[in-house]
Amino acid sequence: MRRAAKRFAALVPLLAIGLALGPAFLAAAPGPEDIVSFSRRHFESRGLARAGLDLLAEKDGRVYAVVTPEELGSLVARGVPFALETARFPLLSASAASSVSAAGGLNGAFHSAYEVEAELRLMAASHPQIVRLREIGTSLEGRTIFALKISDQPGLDEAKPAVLFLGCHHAREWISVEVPLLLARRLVDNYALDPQVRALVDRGEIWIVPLVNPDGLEYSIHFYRYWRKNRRANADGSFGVDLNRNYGYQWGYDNVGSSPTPASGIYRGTGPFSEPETEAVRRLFLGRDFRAVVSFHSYSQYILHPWGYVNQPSPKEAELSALAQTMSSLIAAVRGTVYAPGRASAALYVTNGDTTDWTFGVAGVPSFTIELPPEDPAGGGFFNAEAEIDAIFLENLPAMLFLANYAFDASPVRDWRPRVPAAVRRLPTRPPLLRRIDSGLPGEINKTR
Amino acid sequence: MRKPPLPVAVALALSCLCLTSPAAGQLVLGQYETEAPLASWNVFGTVPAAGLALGGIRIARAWDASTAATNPALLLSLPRLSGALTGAYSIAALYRFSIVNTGVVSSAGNYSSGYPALESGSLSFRFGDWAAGFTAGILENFQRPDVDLSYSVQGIVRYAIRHEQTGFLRGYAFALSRRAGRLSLGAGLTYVRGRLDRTLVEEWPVDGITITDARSERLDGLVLNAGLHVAISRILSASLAVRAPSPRKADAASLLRYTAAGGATDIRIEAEARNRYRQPLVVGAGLDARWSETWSAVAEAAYFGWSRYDVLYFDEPAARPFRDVVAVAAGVEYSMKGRLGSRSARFPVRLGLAYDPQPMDDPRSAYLCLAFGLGLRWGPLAVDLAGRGGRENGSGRSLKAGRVALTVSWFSHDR
Repeated sequence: MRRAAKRFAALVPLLAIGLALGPAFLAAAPGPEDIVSFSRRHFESRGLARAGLDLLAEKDGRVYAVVTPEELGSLVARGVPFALETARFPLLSASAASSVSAAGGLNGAFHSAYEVEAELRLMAASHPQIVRLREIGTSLEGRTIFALKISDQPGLDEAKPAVLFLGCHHAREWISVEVPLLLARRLVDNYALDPQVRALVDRGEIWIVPLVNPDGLEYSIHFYRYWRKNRRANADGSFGVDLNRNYGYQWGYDNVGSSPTPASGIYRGTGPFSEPETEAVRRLFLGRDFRAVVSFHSYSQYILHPWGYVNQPSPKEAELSALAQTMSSLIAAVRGTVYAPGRASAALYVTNGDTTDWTFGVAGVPSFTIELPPEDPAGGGFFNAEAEIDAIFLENLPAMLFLANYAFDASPVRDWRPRVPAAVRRLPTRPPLLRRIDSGLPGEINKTR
Repeated sequence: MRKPPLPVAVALALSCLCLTSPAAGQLVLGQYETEAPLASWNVFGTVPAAGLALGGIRIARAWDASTAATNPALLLSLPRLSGALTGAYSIAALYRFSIVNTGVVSSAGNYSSGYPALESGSLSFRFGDWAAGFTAGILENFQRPDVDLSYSVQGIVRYAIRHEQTGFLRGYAFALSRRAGRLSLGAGLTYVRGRLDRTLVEEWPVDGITITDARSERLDGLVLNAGLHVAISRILSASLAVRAPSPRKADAASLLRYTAAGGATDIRIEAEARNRYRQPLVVGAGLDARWSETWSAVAEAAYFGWSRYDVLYFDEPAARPFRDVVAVAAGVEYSMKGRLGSRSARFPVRLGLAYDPQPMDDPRSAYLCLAFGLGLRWGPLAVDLAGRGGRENGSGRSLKAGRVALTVSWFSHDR
């Protein structure tokens, strides 16, 4: 027995090594971060403004910050009164909280799907009086598609006119996420400060879906920057459906404005609304009184209005053209950037199954595709400098506010039955003229909408 | 370490965006996520040739000090002094990785990536009831087949795309073990470091446009492992080994760049981050039966807790829907006695099997491997040669993985 005890004692040093090292390994992992809030008064009087904390937001006189366990301990030691808010921000409570607020990572100042979600949740949590976050669908890979509703009674389904801003149907068009997201941020941050913003928000519902195609965006960030479509695994082994060819109005009208070939960059899918991402937009749109729609894309600096599927004037050509012209002027007035207004099919090329043909075609709602900068591949193509994000948003802001005001002033659209011009007939199916888009080769750098 | 570009004949052709067979994986690549080791996720130390011949035994029996990184208790089963070097050639077939067969470029068949390496070196020293071991080796290799495609019209390159990924992880392990009667206990510490580089360049030369997406990671981490060995009888012994969950960190940098028109437009998005790959708990158990001087058998199972694998990539959690798996290996050894020159010698012949399930949830995938090896024990020297081949089942691509290893060992006379 004594011998056994002696042997066991001989093992103790080894156990001690293990026990000593174990906690060290565990300690090597970053500790969980928390979100705390302080009163503005304590924040200033206790020197917290100079403490280098990762600040999130300020709301109702309280300052919110992400803190490490060490910082939390320091707050306790210094006797700073604070409230632990972590449970209110479940997503931000993840280990990457500080980075989310900074929108950093591989895509720099542009937002990933994770960051978009965090940003939207933060807006909804920090401005509950005017913001509701709705989950309108789930992408193929299981990511939630969010719509942010901004209104003076966001919790109520009021019979108020609504306007819809959509972003990122196409994965590589990163700037098209930022502009509607910044619009949301601008509205919620300035509601209490700016009477014009308050008046606008009080009059109607502003719906913002900044990221229609989260799966595609993630693939574009992580694997291939110029990815365009969603991430549908097609039957032939190729991937992706062009979400801006998957809407139901004149879907598959011809093989020029969209393609039946799955590998094509403008593949329209197996049927109208075959993709959960477009179906999410469809469900959101129907059943609400939308009176204007903007779908952001890039690049080429256009403001396009229906029709896209055929180069013929729509029944509201004059009204749409005038609105596009006005928005173009408002944009140009900011810093001189010219967004050319025009009918989509004439200004760029024909497209069928796109968003704005559908919203206009089924509901008569003035609908616009805004192609954001740059103008051409030489200027960056689908790339925008990070420093340009705010400037591009700001030049679009007057046009967006104008359209929202216009929508809220407009009469409801009644008995909308679009007339198909007599000269238009269904074209025979032709071999696709895809300008090499099928191969992703040189022509693709010119492909925008 | 570098490998040739993909053969021209299968160079993903210019129909590179189409014509593959249906497959399940989408963004979550599973088998070949960027950080996935070539062939198998289930890496636990290095395996010398003799262990490879028995299916990949690394917990139940030791042949050299490479056991310091797996089951350090077995250091006491080695002679008073030992040293070993292992060289290996590893090869694996891949189908879906990065931009290949995920929508950008596609292929009709699988591609192989192989590399030769001086894989590990190890030393052990036993003094009384104590033993110490040191081993250094390449634990993981991250290389992928290169993609190098171009499209020309009348001899002028209009478009080109190149993708390259290389990387490896080295481990340096030190362990101590102590015997107490029939029981041996050991603990080890492994410092791992390595790199992982990925570059994607896309060019439209006529338009003067180039897109570069370059990422690099410098990996490092510490891993704690421990082992136990019990001599149940003269014939049978049992072993247990544990590797603690450990964060593998990576100083990462990324450059996404667009240049056009001779540099007049130069847009850069640069990022730096501290990535983290939280490696899973591994628990393994094995049995070693030596019922005669000629015959022996060994078997082991290792649990990998992949469901808790956790990746933080450039400040964002990365989805890795993984499940826990149990990898098993077993083998028999027949050791013939003979003479070589004037000295007696033994000629072991080994046969092994392994079942190596991969952690991804969808598709469920596992390698079934067959191994074979020969050896020579001649005085203080031992030479072992082994080969192991496996075929994957579950992805629908029948991926193959193979490995040939040669270990040369030297022992003190007390064995």
